Amino acid sequence: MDNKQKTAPETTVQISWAHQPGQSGGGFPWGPHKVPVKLSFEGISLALEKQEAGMHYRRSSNGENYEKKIFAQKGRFFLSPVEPFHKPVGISTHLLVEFTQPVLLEPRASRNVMVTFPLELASAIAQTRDGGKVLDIFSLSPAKFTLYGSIRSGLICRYWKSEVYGKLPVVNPVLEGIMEINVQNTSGRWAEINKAAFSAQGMKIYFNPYLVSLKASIKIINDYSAETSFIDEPLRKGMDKALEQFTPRLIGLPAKTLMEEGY
Amino acid sequence: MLEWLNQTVYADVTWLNLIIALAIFILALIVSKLVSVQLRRSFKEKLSKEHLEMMAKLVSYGIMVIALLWIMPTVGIEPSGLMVAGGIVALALGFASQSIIGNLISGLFLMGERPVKIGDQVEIAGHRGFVEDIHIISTSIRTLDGLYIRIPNETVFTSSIINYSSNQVRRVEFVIGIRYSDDAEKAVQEIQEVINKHPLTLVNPEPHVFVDELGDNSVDLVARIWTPTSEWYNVKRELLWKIKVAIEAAGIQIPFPQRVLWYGADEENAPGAVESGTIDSIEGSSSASE
Repeated sequence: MDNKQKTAPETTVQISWAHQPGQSGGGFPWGPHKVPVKLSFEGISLALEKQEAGMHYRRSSNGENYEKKIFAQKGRFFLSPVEPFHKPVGISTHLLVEFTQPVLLEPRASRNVMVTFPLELASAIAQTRDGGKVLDIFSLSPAKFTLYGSIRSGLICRYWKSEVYGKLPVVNPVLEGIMEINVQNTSGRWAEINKAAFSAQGMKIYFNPYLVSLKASIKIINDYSAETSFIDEPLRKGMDKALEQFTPRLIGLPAKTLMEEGY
Repeated sequence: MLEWLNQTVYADVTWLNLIIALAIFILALIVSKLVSVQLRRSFKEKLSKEHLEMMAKLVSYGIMVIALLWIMPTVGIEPSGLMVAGGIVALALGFASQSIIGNLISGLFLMGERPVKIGDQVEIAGHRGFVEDIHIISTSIRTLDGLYIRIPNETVFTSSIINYSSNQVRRVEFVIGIRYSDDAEKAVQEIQEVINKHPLTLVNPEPHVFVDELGDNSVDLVARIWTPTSEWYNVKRELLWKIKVAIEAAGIQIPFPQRVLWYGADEENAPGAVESGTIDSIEGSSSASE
């Protein structure tokens, strides 16, 4: 392999990027990238190299190494943010965001707030303009889980704690995304919102080099119940749609989450 | 050449009737298999495994019952006659096969009550394992060491059942003994940190670590941690050693069982020593034990 590396020219990028437009360094280069390519960012090294029989994918991060052989002659490499439910796999299909400060909303009012949400990244190979094939999914933020509801019938949720922002905060787009939540209080009483649980179904993530985003809504029904769902819209114009790992075909999850155990 | 086909076997039933009956039976068997396989394929992603199995079995048995009712006149049995004889047969069967009927009825009640589902980890009548299948007469279990056990449904129905998979989350509990001379608060903090770092320990219900008992040989701390039920074993397996490593790295030790003997010469130093008189020995633990 060493000999091959000497003879074959490759793109090696030590990525440093700005988290917002206007700063030097540009945004995060999600791709596409020509093969061979080596990317190194936030303690993670990714490489997709050509070999005689096809290609070889490698990732190393925090002492973990992952490799995959790909039998394809051509293809372009790219990264995409994906729903944060794969690491570890199969534990949860819901996300619970706990707010560091409760949000108090007057009766029959609607307001947009912004919170952060966890991300996982997918390495993928694509030959055409289709979604491509995911090679690997990894996460830069450690996962944590929580139970929403009762021990008997509650939901195991991916847990995330976030501040509540009135305007778009600056965050690292490979670590966190920004979720704009439209909070509607349809009840005739004041509502204090401390957390929101969302189903993975319908989680439509959009991204650009500076921002990974989601749009969602919380409808307050009464003192104890609320309904949450995602909205399939980018936060800014011109954002690309991320790879979707949860689709109606794959899982029979409802797209809306009824929070009946408080919010 | 094929005249034998029209020969009577018994009553008015000929060999041809028997062959037709056999052919219908085999055909029904094949159709019921094909239909249940097709149902399993079609509804694999839409129904839970348990419901799917139940539906497949009901359809399969239904086809077989229809086929048998169809066959009966061919082999000289009138279904209407069965109704007359039904009472007597039921009585005879009741006496002859009490346990089978008991298992059957228990099976029906179990399907209604559903205390266990296929795939659940359970303990029934002292047998611990995963429920492989729930039949109408019996329930099969794959034990944790890979053995197959068939338990009659009557036993399942009348036994206490522990279902380890019934709830979403399950608690892991560890008892960690530290020396009397160690800082228990620091130990609690270290253990809490290890628990918080583990991805599969739940934020809510909150984990608890506290001093539970001042034991004979150690100060016993208890750690109660909730995990997703599916991950209980993995968390239990991984966490205890991590806790041990973390508290030892913080200079806290897990003591061995010990007994301190104070002899007459040391009586002045002995905890709880009396002003006068002689003490041969005082047994027990103390911070001076180190």
